[in-house]
Order: sequence, then C-alpha cells, then structure tokens
Amino acid sequence: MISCLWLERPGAWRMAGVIGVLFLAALPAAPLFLQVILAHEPLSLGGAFGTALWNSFAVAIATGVLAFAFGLPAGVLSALYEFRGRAAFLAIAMLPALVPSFLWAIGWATLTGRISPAVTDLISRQTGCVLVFLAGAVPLVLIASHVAAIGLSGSQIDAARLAGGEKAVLRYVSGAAAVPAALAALLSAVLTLSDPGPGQILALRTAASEILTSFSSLYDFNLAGCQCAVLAMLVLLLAAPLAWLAAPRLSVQIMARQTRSLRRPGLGRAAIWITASFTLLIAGTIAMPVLGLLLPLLRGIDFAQASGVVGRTSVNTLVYAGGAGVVATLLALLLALFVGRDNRLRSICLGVGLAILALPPALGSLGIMHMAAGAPAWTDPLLRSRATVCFVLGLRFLPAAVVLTMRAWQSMPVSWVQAAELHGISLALYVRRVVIPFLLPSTAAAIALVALLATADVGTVLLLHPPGKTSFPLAIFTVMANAPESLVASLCLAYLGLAAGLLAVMWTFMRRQAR
Amino acid sequence: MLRTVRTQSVLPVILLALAGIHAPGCARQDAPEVVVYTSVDDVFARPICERFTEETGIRVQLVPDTEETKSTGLVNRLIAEKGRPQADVFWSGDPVRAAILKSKGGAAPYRSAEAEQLPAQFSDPQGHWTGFSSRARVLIYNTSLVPAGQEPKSVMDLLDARFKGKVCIANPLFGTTSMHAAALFESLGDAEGERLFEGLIGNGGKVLSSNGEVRRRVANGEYAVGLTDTDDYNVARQEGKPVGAVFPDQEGMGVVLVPNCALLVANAPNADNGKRFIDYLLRAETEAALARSEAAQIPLRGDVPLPEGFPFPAIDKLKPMPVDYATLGSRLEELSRGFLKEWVDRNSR
Amino acid sequence: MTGFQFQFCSVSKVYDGHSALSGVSFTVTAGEHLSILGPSGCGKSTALRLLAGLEPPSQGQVLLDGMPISQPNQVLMPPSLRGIAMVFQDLALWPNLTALDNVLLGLSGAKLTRREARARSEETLNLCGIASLAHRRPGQLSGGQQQRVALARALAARPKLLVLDEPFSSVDIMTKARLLGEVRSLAAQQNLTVVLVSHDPLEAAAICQNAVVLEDGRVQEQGSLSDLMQDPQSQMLMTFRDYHRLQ
Repeated sequence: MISCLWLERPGAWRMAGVIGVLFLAALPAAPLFLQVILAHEPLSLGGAFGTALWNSFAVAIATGVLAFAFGLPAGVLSALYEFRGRAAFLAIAMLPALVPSFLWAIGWATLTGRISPAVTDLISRQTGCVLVFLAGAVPLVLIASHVAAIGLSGSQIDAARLAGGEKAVLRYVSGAAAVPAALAALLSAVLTLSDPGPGQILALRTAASEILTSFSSLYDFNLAGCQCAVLAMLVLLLAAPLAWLAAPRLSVQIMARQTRSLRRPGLGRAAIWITASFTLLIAGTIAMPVLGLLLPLLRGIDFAQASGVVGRTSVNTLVYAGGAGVVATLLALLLALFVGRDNRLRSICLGVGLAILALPPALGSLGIMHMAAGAPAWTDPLLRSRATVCFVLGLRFLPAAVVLTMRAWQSMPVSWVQAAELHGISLALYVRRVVIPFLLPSTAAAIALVALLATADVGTVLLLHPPGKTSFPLAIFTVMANAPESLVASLCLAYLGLAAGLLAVMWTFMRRQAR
Repeated sequence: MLRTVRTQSVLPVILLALAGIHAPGCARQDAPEVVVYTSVDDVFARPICERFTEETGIRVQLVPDTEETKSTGLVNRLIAEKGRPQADVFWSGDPVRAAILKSKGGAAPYRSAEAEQLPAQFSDPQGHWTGFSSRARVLIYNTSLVPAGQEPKSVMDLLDARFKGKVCIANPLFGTTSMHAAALFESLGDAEGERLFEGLIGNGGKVLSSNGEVRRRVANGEYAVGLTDTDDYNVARQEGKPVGAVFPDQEGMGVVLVPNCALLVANAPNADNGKRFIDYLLRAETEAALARSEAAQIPLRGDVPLPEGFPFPAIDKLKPMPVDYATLGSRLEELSRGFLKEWVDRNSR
Repeated sequence: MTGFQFQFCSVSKVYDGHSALSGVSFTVTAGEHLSILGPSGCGKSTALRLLAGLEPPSQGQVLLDGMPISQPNQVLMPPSLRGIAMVFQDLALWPNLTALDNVLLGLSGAKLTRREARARSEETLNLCGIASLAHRRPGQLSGGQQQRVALARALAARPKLLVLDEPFSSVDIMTKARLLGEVRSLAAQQNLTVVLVSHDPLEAAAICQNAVVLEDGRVQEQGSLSDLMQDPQSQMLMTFRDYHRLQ
C-alpha cells in the first residue's frame, strides 16, 4: 500500500516532476527555438523590434495596472455589499472573457469610424489597444478579487468593521484580495503580449505584430524565433520577481472556510454611486464595442448564413475549448502535486508559466506541425487531430489553470494527510474520497477558465485544426474582412448570444454549488 | 451528498469533452475526399466546393484563411507540413503566395486540360500553379468627397495636392497590397517606386491595417481615396456606401490583376482527387460562378459571359500591368526585407 | 488492554538547520495519562509527530515495548500499525465528508466489514453525543461539535494510545471544560492511554497525572503533575505558579 504521506514527502522527485511538466509545456515551441540555435546566424531582431517591444510592454503594463485599479475595487465591493443590479453586473462583466479580443477591436474600430475621424484617432493605437485588452482583463481581476474576498470569513470582516468601520473593512479585504488580483492582472498583461490582433486592427506596432510580420510576410522562422525568445526572456525577467513575491501568498488558510461566511449589508445612498460606477465600467469596456459590432445589423440580419456557420462549427468549438481545459487542468494538478508546499518551485512554475504564455501561439503550433511532418503517419491521431489542437491550447493556457489548482492544492492542510496515514487509509482511497472532491470546484473553474481563453485563441486553431474541423471564432476571423458587414455582425451577434447563454449556464451552476 | 452532486455535474462535461477529443479528425475515412487549403475568403470558396462535391461525390475538407486579417497563415502551414502534407490543393487568392510555395518546394507540376483556354501569362511557366478568375487593384474613392471628374486616374495621382491628407493604403507587407507594391517596383523601377511610397507619406497618406479597413474608412468618409481590391469595393457598393472605383493607369502602366491560383501540393495524399478539384476550379463555369458571387471576380477567359449588372469591365477591356507573376514572389521577398519593411517601420508607430 | 510502553530515547529533530527537538527522552506506559506541556514553538507537536511515526527523528530512537519503531531518518513501523489515534490541533476533518463519513473513512484501514464499520461509527458518534449530527458536514457544525467529530474519528479506531494535540485551544471556556470532562470519562470508560499536548497546565491537570515540560526543544522537567506544580523548575510552570499566587 502506498503511504498517503507520499503526497507531502520532500525530495528531488518534486523538482524533476516540475521540470518534466514545464518541459512538456515548452515542447511545442522547442523545434523552432532549436532551429534558431542551430542556424548559427548572428542575432538580429530587425530595426523596429525595439519600438514594438516598448509599445507592447507599455500596453501590457497599462492594461495590467488599469485592470487592477478597476477590477480590485469592483471585485471587493461586489463581494462585500448588496446593491441594485449586483448579480447582473457580475454576469455582464464576465462576458468579454468569453469573446476573442479581435471582436472588441473591430467593435471599437467600427464605432469610432461611424462617429468621427477625430474619435478614431483618439481611440486607436495605445489607447485603443488598452481599451480592447481591458475588456478581457478587468473581468479576470474582478473575479479573482471577488473570489478572494468571499473566501474570508464573516468573523474576519466583523473584526475589521469593529476596529475601524467600513474604511477598515475595505482596506482589510482589499489587502487580502490584492495578491490574487495582482496575479490576475499580471496574467492579463502577459496575455496581451502574444496577441497581435488589436495592434494590427488599431494600427499599433507591437512585438506580437512584428513576430507575425517575420512569420507571414518574410517567412523568416529564424528571425521570428529570435524575437519570440527575446520576448519570453523579458517576460521571465519581469515576471520572476512578481512570481517570487506572490508565490508564498498564494495559499489560503483553510480554517476560514469552516467558519461563518460573510453577510452582505446594504449601503444606503452610497449604493447609488457603486451602481453608477459599475454601469460606467461596463459601458466603457463592453457596451460601446458591442454597439459597434452590432450597428451593421440595422441593415438586416443574415440569419440563415450565420446559423449555418454556427451549426458547422459549434461541436468543434466545444471540443477544442473543453479539451484544452481538461488537458491544462490535468497537467496543472500534476504540477500542483509536484510543487507541494515548496515556495521556490511555486515561483519557478509561475515565472516560467508566464513566459510560456507570452509566446505567440504560432510558435508552438508551427513547432508541432514540423514535428508532425517529420513523424510517421501512425502519429497522426496524436499530432494531427482535434486532440492535437486541445493539447497545444491546453499547454498554452496551462499557467491559468496552474494558478487556480495550485491555490486549491495548497489550501489542503498537511494534517489531512497525516490523519489519513494514522488511520491506515490507502493513498488511492484518500485521493478518491478526499482530494478529488475537494479539488473538484477549483478543477471545474480551471477547466472553464482555460476553455474560455482557448476559445478566443484563433491563431493556434487556424494552424492546427484538421481539415474541415474549424471553430466558430476562426470562422468569424476568416470572413470578417471581406464579407458583408451584416453577415459579420450576424455572426458576432450569434457569438455574443452563445457566450451569454454559456455564462447563464455557468452562473446557474455556480449558484447551485454555492447553496 | 455534495460530493455526489458535484461529481454528477462535472463528470459528464469532462467525459463529453474527452469523447469529442478522441473522435477521429475525419469521420468517414474511406469516403473519397480532397483537402483544400484556401486563402480565398470562406464565403466565396465554400459554395464552389459544395458544388464540386455535388457533382463528383468527392467531399471537400476546406481549410480557409484570409490574407486580410494577416494570420500567420496557410502558406506557413503548408511550408511546415511539406515533409508529409495533409493538403492536396492550395487555392490561393493571389499568385505571390503560390510562387512562394513553389520556391519552397511545396508545389507539384500539373497542367490541367481545362487551363488551355486560360491566358498563359497568369500561370507558372513550369505548370506549378495556374491562374484563373481575377481581382484587380483599384482606386476606391468616396463619391461625396471626390467630385465627378476629379477622380484619380493613376496611382501617381495619390501624390496630388488635391488629395493631401485624404489618402490611405493597407500595410504593404501583407496581402494583395504587398503584391501590388512589388508589381509597382517591378514596373516603375526602384527609384520611382520609392518616390511613390515616400510621396504618399509626404502627401499625408495613412497606412491602415488591411484592405477591408481602407474600404471602411473611405466608405465612411474618413479618407477620400484609397487602394484596395475589387471585391472589397464591391462589398461597399452592395451595401449602398457612397463609393466609386477606378481601374488605375489604363493610359499608362496598366492595372495590377490578382488572379486566383490553383496549385497541386507536392506529395499530396489524394493527388488524383486534387487534380479533379483543380480541373473543376479552372472550368469556365467556375469563373462564371465567381463572377456572380459577391466577390465579383473578373473571368480570365474572354468568352465567359458576365452576369447582368457586373460592376467591372471584361478582361479584354482592361489594360493589365505586364507583370511576371512567377518572379514577383522573390521580388516581394527582397522588398519586404528592405525598403518596404523600413518604410512601414518609419510610418507606423 | 495489554501492557505496552512507548519510549523516546534521546530524540532530536532538525528542520533546515533549525533544531526543533534536542535529546528528548520520556516514556508513555499503558493506562497512563501524560501531558506534554510547553509554550508555543517549543517542539510539542513535533514530538507527537515523531511518536506517531509521521516523521522520522534526526537522532535517537522511538521504542515500542523495547523494539525500535523509528530510528534516525527512518520510520521502521508505519503510523497505522502503532495503534495511535490523534485529534489534531486544526482537527483535520475532511470538509467534503459528513461526520459519519469522516469516522467511516477513518475505519477503512481497520479490516472491518462495511456493516461492522458503520455500526462502530454510529456507536462512537453516539458515545461522543453527536449521533444526531451524523449527516452534517464539518462546515455545518459549531467548533465544539467539530471537536467531538474529531474525537469520535480517533476513538472509533480503538487505539492503544489517544494523542490530543491542543484540540481545545479554539473553543470557549464552557465548551472546553465540558469537553475535557467528557474526554476524561471516556478515557476511563475505554481504559485509554492518553497523551495530551497543551500550553495550559490547568487543561493538562483536568486529564493527566503526569507531565513532560518542554522548552526550546529540550525536556526541562518531568514527573507527576502535582509534584511539578509544587516545585516547578521550568520557566513555564514557575510563571504559572507566580501568576496564580498573584491572583
């Protein structure tokens, strides 16, 4: 019988396991990096890459800081207080997380184009990119802070309230939610680095768009590989200290869960201001670009063609999203097991994970394609199938799942394992009866989060999907430039409708879980 | 109890996802099929493929892309898959991509009998790709901003003071604009080509993300004139936007035509079906169908009847720019690493 | 209950260069109620983990009836075979399982049929006065009720030695007094050997006759608790005596 204490045992196996999983996550990018190293050419990044890097980091930092500034208070307030429309605001604020960034970019571009050229100039380049990325980043930070705040016990909140009134409550809860919120903001900021769409549409030269130029205009894999490596190294350098700071604070005290949960008081007149702020936030990040996307519908809805596209692509979209979620979460659980309670390993995972996230999707996809082209036909089910798409997407978004699962894993106290060991419970039984059920909510959340991020990633699906197995976002992506505006708008409407439906299902599921 | 409820709720989702993942990529392995990669927009390519399936019983697995949105794209995918390709046919929206794929060893020679009536100047002399229905690079203008009689007639008119601050073009490193740029340099020579591009910026011209963006911004009046493709112009026209189009340089160097190209992928897994698909694409009927589509592509055969209300002149009424499409790819590669890259870097932040 | 004896022989434990226990020796004999007393961070819980075999010592040996069961860096007899049950400081209740399931899962290593295990679980929950709460999860119970569940899980295993690691530190004084009384009577009723870890001599006195006082990882004094109280040598018990004189 394998001992339950094995789960907590230190040793070199932990480091070996972490290296193994991280190596697997970096594997798709390896062929192109190897090609760069073996090319023995002098490192040249192209003259404009420096400016592009600067733009990218400026947008990423602005997105991260603003998402933190808006998302943290919004998450804390919505967790602490009751006000009119709270549930609806939370649901709507989540919508952009389900929609690919290029749709928001088109929405803004269309809207400003209809208003005036002056507005177009105002909301383009850096401003436009930050606005587009904020739509996806704010919900992530909001949810991270919200979840951290509702994880605190009612007694802790009451103690803060007695000590210094509502100001003390806000200060205390914001402090407790700041680390998860900062991590979510960092994650969102890093994600912007690999997304060329908004930069291309809103005329800003970014590192991702330079890499895209190297790939698809110059067909220069070595140059693109060098640029990717520089981008990843910079992210690693910048993210490492943050990961180091955040890692020890990632776990939470389990005892807080076993005590009274917080109650939400009303806020009287102040509630009006909160409602107004939420309305502004949602109008600024969501309503405006949605309006831009849907305005062309005034000319008519192309329902038949849109529903044909949905019918053709919906199963694939679900498979890619769900498969990526499952792959990422299973690997993240494995990583959480290897990391255990080791802060050093936790920091390594977060730092390397963020660097992997910053790599453009094309790098891994083309790497896998090179592997597949050199491999025998019997490897096709592994390297050229829908499973490949799921696998590569899952590896790409592994860091998002890692944050959630690692936090959940570390919130299981050592004493649980020790109690199981004293009672002679087998490892398999302990895992089945205690660990899996305990991790299930976080696992489901990780699957959902990765599924959402994977849905929005058209780059990987474009390069890797088996012939005829396209996804819905990719279908929009491939028609949006030349198809009539009414068709594009109909497709966007269908996408938003499906996203809202999915959100409603998730919302219902979470409410049922909470009960 | 909670454990049971949670397990019951989540497990089916996981199982469903796993079942989906492991489902084979192609459901009917033994049914005859052809895998077509296309950079032609899905909305135009798919109906043609569906008709091919109806007529032949060969199922088309379509992998679409779009040059407009500058994805890392199918050419990269085709190059990466070269060792053991999945695709049988590459239906390219322009000859440059086909020429690049040929230069990377990704194309097999195939001379279709259907190509005999097509003009040879739009095809690869070695038969690695064959051109058919064409788009053209046109000057799109806003009819509210450009009075009748004041329309530009040549790309050189974009340097004219009357269009100062009112001109836009798409990023010349991508798509058909890149091909247009290469053709202009080929036709005008390096010095004159550079003068044109520098002059555009000197005249307050703007570099936008795509031809679609040029169409939108001219149509809504942000710019008076732009360079785009005939299919883009036709979308704006059909939407009732105040736009007009001019085939430039009909008195001079001629208009750049952008024919579709059919290419048989080297070592294609279903080469015979691929050849049948190429034959189908090159038929007069396909040219007629593409002319009827919203892309309003111009048939390269002079005898294909144009549909009623066709917005463009027939091929024999146009003066095409004399361009060697087979060498345009290498010319573009050289420009993309040199002047054009440097020009784009200077003129976009 | 047959006679047995656990012995700590010059046991030391070092974590990352920091010494948690150093040369600690004491004995627990069948039927004895022993308290390990000491201030926070003195190594009490470490001693318990070594006794239970959850960790090996860095130096010294742990003996059971004269046979080594742990030696430097090696656990010779696994925890589940030592006949020890523990109520942890944080109770270590598995939050997704009901009170009954917590006790039942604790019996999974006891080689009982399903029916026997269920009968014994219900009987122990009844003994601890929480039979009516059997189907509630820990999150739905008060602090005192959770402690009873943890106690029931430990008792159901019919251990030779019941180890209590400061289990009553987070409940109010009324509940603590009632629980201590119940543990004392249960221990007498079941003829249990008990080791109680505490920083409170009063709490120790409620259950135990003997005590080992640890300070900075070393045994400062040991013996009968009443004798120790009379003539304390350790800082802790001296402070306790002076405080009570002051009162």
